[in-house]
Amino acid sequence: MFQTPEAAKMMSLLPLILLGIALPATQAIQYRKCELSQILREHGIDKDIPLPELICTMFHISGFDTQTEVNNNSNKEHGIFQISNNGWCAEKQEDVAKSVCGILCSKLLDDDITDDIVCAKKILQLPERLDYWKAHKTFCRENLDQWNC
Amino acid sequence: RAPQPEEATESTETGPPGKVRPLPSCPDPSPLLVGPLQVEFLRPVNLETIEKENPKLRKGGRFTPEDCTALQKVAIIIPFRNRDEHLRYWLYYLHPFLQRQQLDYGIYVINQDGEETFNRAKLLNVGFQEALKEYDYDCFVFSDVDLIPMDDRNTYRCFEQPRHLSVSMDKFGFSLPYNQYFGGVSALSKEQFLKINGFPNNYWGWGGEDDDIYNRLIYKGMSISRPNAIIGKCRMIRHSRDQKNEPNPQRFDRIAHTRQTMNSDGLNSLKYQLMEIQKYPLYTKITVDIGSPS
Repeated sequence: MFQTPEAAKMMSLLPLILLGIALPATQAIQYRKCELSQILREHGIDKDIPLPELICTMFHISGFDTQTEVNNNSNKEHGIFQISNNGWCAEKQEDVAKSVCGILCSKLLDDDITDDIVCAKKILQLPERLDYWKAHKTFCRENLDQWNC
Repeated sequence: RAPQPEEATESTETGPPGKVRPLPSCPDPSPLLVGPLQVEFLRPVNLETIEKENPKLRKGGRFTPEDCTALQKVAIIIPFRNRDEHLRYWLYYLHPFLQRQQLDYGIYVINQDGEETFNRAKLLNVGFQEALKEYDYDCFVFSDVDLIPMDDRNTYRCFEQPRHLSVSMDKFGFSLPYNQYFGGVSALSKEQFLKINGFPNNYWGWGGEDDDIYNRLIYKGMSISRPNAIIGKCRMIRHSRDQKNEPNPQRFDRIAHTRQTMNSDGLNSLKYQLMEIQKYPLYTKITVDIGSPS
């Protein structure tokens, strides 16, 4: 097959290389501000709400970390948008259909934030919009230039 | 400036017995600074090695420059529970760093007794009060145990305005996560600290207490002073989330009410029970029972 010593060395490293490719997929993502802004823009979430206010809110609730899981009294909040199991997502498969976002809460902790964004859009349809998240009122109504990209 | 030969003669030959001429002020900046430092957490460090490498330290982690009078007397207060490995790295990097800055300093590790939810700000209040019982410190540096500065031009002392020292953390991509951020490592003079009634005692769990402190400072007409993002670089020792220090879900509501609570929640309402004071070569460890959320 491969004739050169370099190629042979490469082949012997192959199992290690494959492991290196396979493993990162299981880690959480901590987005950077402008990375995340771009993704949110692509999903059109800023049609009705100002993007800097949303990004600011997300930083203060999850630090842009997809794996964030927080206990809030008797409820639990999941992922980058801190979506709650008090009706938005379901802890158990049999309750998924009853939840507003029709999703298992654990799915909101993985690297793929498409489902998180879809659910957040539903939350933003509430009359309080961004004020659904307490962090918004506290941190994200002024001093907003810093959240622009 | 260095003492002239004539002055030295005068103080040793003609001055009253036992009276020593005061040393000149240490220069600002210190001539001993090296600038950027290599900071890594792969090789383990042990206390005996650190002691050997820092022979000028006195018991309890105290140091006073020999050749000049330090610009400030600084108490470094570290909130702590069950982070011995982090503390070893902290001492390993910070003792040489602080000595090069020619500060008159002491290290106070405030250890929360028991298994109740962690309360960082209350421990810092205790540190302020206990350090002052030992020495008339005029400046207080409050440092998390897992934050290591990467440049010794970032002087761990007090300034005209409250100082934020950990401005450029690796965890936040070496930039400030948000403008109002005041967490990690900060320095307040005794006056600045007293002006805001110290820190809040009612933040149990992770988050919010640093934002409350920021609010206190702003409401008292102060502003945050910072080094630039190069000098202010620091590394955080990566670790999993601590048990009993979960994100505090009340924090956003509490931060919104700093103005109303700061006059009644702080140094003037601080209650705790001292369990033990241990003087180690490299630091003073103060173990304290700070109670539980009321």
